[in-house]
Amino acid sequence: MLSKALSAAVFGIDAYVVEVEVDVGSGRMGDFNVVGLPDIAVKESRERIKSALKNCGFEFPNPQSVTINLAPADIRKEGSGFDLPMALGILGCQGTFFGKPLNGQLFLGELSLDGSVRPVRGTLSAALCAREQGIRNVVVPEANAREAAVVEGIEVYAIRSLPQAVDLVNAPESFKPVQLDARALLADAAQYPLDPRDVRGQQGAKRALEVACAGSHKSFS
Amino acid sequence: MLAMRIPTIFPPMSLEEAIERTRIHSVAGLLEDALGLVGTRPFRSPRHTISDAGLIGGGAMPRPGEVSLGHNGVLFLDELPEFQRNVLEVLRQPLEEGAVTISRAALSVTFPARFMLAAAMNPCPCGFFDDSSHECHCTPPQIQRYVSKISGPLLDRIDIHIDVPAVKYKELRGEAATEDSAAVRERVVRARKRQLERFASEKRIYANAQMPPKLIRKHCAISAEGEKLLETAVTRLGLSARAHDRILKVARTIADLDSAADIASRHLSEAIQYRTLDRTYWA
Repeated sequence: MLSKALSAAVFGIDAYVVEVEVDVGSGRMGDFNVVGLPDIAVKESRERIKSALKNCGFEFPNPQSVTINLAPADIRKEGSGFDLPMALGILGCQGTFFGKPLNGQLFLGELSLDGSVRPVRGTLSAALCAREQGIRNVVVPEANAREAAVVEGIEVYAIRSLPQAVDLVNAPESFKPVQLDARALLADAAQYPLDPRDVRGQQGAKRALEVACAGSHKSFS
Repeated sequence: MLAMRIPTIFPPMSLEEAIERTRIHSVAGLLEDALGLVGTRPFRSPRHTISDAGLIGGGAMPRPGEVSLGHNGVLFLDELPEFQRNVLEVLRQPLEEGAVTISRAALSVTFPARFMLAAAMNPCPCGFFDDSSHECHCTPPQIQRYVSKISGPLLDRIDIHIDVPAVKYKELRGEAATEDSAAVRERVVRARKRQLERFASEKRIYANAQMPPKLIRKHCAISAEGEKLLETAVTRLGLSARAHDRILKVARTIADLDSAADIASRHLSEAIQYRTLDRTYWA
């Protein structure tokens, strides 16, 4: 049984879409392999996924074999953001989603052993990449949701745990996307706690910095 | 102390700049969770023990370094001569191009890195050279060794040098009314606007500091009086051709802050005094 989920990986500060393909039952019994140039954090996700599935009351397809491919397979993948799409892929192979395809959403998230979803790096880049690739729905850990919601033109869903992600796939209508007004947020966020006024004297230096800022020059004191 | 406050007088960030800033910090894993979007310009001040990989970025899967974390903001290097020389030299590419490329056998990654470099140093190892109230105990070779850690090419890329004398007691305690950041920022924004209008027809030039020689000739015309002043400065102080260009560019900015169409001699003389290091050590 084969199942596919979408995720994203960061390269530089840009992200690209990674297709997480999960196949259950094609290899040697009891094997759990991840291919597609995973680094150590990605390989270790096997242990996190096994525990998370067990502790959330889902079944790990024992003693069948599990093979996961991260496509494109020739770019090195790093980080823990594939935990969630991999776990969902395994569940998809077991019919948890009643045959519903997983490739309408982009999933990101690190799994904790108890099945809760932890924040990952580069969520904003992934959200921008999803918009570019025409993927409308992005599912991210709750802690990263505001960051992703800054991107206009996509729907961002915040989840806290693996069972919640399963519910989201099965009944998307019961979830609301995160709403955020980026411009209002920017106006709020553009406040500095410091003011040059608090520094006594040094008028010459202050003037020089004003000139530097005004002309984009480099300064040295 | 003052350097930390530089971002407050910068023009406010646009949404695109804020998104770019948030992205870089998110990739580096430095974002505070609840924030969402970061609207303040970054201020990065790495310690002098930083490695070159830490400064420009690195790792098997390269992550952004301090120059990229300071993108659209300020990179402040305190005690500049204490940094390792090879670390300072890697700053050249980002200073010239506004981006930094990290090449590995298998991949090559480019990070944005357009920042304002601000640096501070003591005039000599003991810090009292040229100080009226203390005597400096450093020998000339010691001072020479100290300042020679900063290469000429790097110094050449720095537009504004200033002496910051110790604050007098009266100033320290006095309630001298100084401007707050909003007032200064307003002037800065106005000056930037003038520059944008000036360079509207040019490609990839947004500020006076980026003017190539051709545009310097076009936009930095000076009066006969100013010409004499500049000639004296260049010959007496033995300034380089690069320093000459920088003086003109900085004078242009000072005139912009003044909302003046032409560079007057007072603008020029202020710009000339921002080359103190050329005079003290490298002349």
